[in-house]
Amino acid sequence: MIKYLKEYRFYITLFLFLLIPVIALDTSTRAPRDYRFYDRVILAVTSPIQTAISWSLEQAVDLTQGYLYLWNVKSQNTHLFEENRKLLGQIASLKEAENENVRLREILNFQEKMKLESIIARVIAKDVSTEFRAVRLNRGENAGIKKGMAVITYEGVVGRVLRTTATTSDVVTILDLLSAVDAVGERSRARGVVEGLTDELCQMKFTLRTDDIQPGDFLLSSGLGGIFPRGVAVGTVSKVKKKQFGISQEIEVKPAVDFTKLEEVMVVLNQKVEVIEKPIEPKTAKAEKASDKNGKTEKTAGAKPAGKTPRVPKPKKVAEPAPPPGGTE
Amino acid sequence: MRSLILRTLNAPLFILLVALGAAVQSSLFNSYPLWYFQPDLILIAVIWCALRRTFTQGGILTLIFAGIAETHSSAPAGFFLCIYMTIFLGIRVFSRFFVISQFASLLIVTIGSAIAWKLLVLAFLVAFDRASAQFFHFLITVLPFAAIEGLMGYWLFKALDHFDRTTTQSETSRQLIEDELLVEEGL
Repeated sequence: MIKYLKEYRFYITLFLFLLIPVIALDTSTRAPRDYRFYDRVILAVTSPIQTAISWSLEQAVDLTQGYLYLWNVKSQNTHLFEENRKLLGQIASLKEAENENVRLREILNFQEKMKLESIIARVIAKDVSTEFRAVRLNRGENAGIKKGMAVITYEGVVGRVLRTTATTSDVVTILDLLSAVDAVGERSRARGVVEGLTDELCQMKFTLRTDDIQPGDFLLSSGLGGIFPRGVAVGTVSKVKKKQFGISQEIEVKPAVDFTKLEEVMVVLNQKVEVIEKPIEPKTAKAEKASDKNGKTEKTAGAKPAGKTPRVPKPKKVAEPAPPPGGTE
Repeated sequence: MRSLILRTLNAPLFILLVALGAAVQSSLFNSYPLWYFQPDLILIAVIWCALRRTFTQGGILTLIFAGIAETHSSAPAGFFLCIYMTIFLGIRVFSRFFVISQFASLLIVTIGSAIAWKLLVLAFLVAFDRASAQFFHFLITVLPFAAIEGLMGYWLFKALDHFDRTTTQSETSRQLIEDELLVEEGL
């Protein structure tokens, strides 16, 4: 036996080298892969480097914008050089701070508008291949991020959390070939699933050929699937191709988010549960009489058996203060 | 003793270097339009494994490197394992028929492997029914990818050669590896 093993060692190893990837691929198509122990070890080593590089690049850009610009000023005006250097340096740093403030304020406004419990994270790395379009964020499980959470910006939907470690999380963007977001047209309410297509475009699938959808139409997340909050911008229809036959139409979508300038994102920790039930008022004696006459008891959500004091149903627990009674989105 | 320790450390250090390389690559080429010029350092490491390691050691290292690539990507598990292993085996077969002795021929192999890598990704995406518009993406990215891979290969193969000489130390140990390689493949 050992003799044969030795003799066919090369072929056995070759067989194993071919078998392992195929098994891995096969199992991944059955169940989505999470980080394993050794993946976490690799990430523990690599993610601080990614954070450091990302930070260094940012500092280098700041320095280039601030200092090199000043260097040109020096050659133009020697008398005012010192003063200009200080002022322009301040302007450069203030401008950067202002830009950051504007971005963060927009995120905060959006956060308040959408009534979402979320945290802000920074993009530190991109996918190793250009075919897949995931990004890595600098916050993970320690910040409360979990697999499957929605990631958005004030511009619109970015993607969903694929995997997490204690300090990082990977996000599959809507441009990724493996992503899918249920969307609805703002004007016509036509439904479809937005999937990744290229580095700049998505495609909307499963929209019926008879549905009214035109270039320029705005698409919003439908909230179906429970990952993305309802009503967040997904993109704009850029091209519609209707075939003469078939069930669906081909729709190209330009994402609402500019992925070339993606720096900060919001991870939705907890979507607010909307109170859609109207608080039920205690029945009046007249209404009770009428229902008794019919010999039937009207069934209403939250209605209590006769003889007991009817209670207003408690709204579900929400992260934000409850809206006024009867108030819905 | 020192050379023995260094030789033992060769593989773990190589893995660490590749892991760091993947991290640097994914964060340095993070911004637009730099991401179109993102090299694949893992592919260079796999080519090095195919040509400068024994079949078993190279194969195991390739599987580990592919695993590293998958932790930095949204690709389904096993996707990169299949692609890198195909590249590894392809180069092994290629090296049996063609002599890859010079540095220039190594670069040609790298450029060829980069194109093959892109084609394999496309083929796998077709198999997964996710290849719509990917052919155009392939056409756009294949040449810059091959060029950047060749350029990076020029520096990285020199660095890896230096790394191997430092960690395996003597010419005798290199000869031993090559003899082992020939015996394993029945030459």
